[in-house]
Amino acid sequence: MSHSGRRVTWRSTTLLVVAFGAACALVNVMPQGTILEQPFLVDGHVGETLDLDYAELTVTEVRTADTLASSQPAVAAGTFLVIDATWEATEGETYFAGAEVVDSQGRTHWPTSRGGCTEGTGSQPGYAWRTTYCFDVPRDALAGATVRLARGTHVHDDQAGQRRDAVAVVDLGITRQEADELWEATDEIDVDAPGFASATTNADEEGEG
Amino acid sequence: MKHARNADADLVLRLLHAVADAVVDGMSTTQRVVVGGIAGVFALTPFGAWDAVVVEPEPLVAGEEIEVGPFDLTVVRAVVADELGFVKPLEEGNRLLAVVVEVSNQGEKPAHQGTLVDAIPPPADAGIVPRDTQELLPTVLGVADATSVDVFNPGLPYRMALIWEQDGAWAQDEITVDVAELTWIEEDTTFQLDDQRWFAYGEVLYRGRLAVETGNDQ
Repeated sequence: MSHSGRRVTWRSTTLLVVAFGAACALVNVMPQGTILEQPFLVDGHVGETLDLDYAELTVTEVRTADTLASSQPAVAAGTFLVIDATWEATEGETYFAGAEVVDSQGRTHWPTSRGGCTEGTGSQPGYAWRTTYCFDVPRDALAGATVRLARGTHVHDDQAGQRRDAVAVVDLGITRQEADELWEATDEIDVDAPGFASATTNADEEGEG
Repeated sequence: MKHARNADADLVLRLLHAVADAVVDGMSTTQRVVVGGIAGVFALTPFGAWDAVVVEPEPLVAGEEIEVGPFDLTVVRAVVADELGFVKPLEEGNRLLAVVVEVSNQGEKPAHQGTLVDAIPPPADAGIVPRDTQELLPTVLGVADATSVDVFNPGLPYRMALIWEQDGAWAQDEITVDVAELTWIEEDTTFQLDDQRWFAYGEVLYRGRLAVETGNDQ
């Protein structure tokens, strides 16, 4: 009885083992967690419109307040960092769930829904949607803070909600001196309800005229 | 009869000894050590060898700061009232019990309100009754503005009231407040739920008696 198939030689076995080892090494060495799964960060500053592929985002204004006036006023444990932004979806109806402030110490701060503020918002192509995020932060979180806005959330370290997706990182432009001034201010802000950015702008212009 | 009982006992002991010798002689040293260990544990059973280790909670004192999970936490006081802010009892005749705490998240990430709720279970001796669900979950409000704070951002001092509905017949001067241990779950391989969260397994870290004040809208 003879075998008609190809013989398994030491050379082919060695090649197979080497190829398998190289593949394992490649999978282990490739920095999947630190590079391949990272979101695409789009840096910007206040007033700049950022293209995130799925939306255009503009952080229009940054303010602080100790109290958010509304039907049920909210009092800050620190101070409210109030960030106005406009979203315009470019691919389809999109919900923008990711919002957090990252301070210079690397701490993250989430927004509140108190005082009429928003934790997340949605829009469709064809119009810009204005919304306001409010973050209750301590004094030492103001200087050098950035706001990170995206459609995906960033709850866990594994970046699951923002994996290989565009994320805006907007420098709020707060210097140490400005941080002290913002902290000392005892303003009360009446947060506007979310709405069409263009309609609001037109109404403001008519009001001023 | 006394001698007869002793003779019977000697016979039993001699028989047991003979059986033990026969068994042990056929064993290696390792087997002898293992069997000896098992026999030792069984011998200690009446003295609690199988009982779970009970760790007594440390004393909880009002006004003293403790560390629990991501929080520096101070239990401030307990108040019983007919109404607290906009919160009213669902059942007529019931009252509200509020445990007021100061809490500061010392971590680098926000902590959910539920993490605080997990750390402070409903006082067992305070006549707590369910509100809208069968669970004895409290309403959690900020003392400064009576709004619900969903997350505790790092580095901020929050004064919160955990409010439960209380049976109207309850009439005591003190309650027992427990603070449960919070364990960090980096990766949930047990329940396959969310990773990177605090979880309370139910072990009480601190326990103390707290005087109950009476008042309204405090």
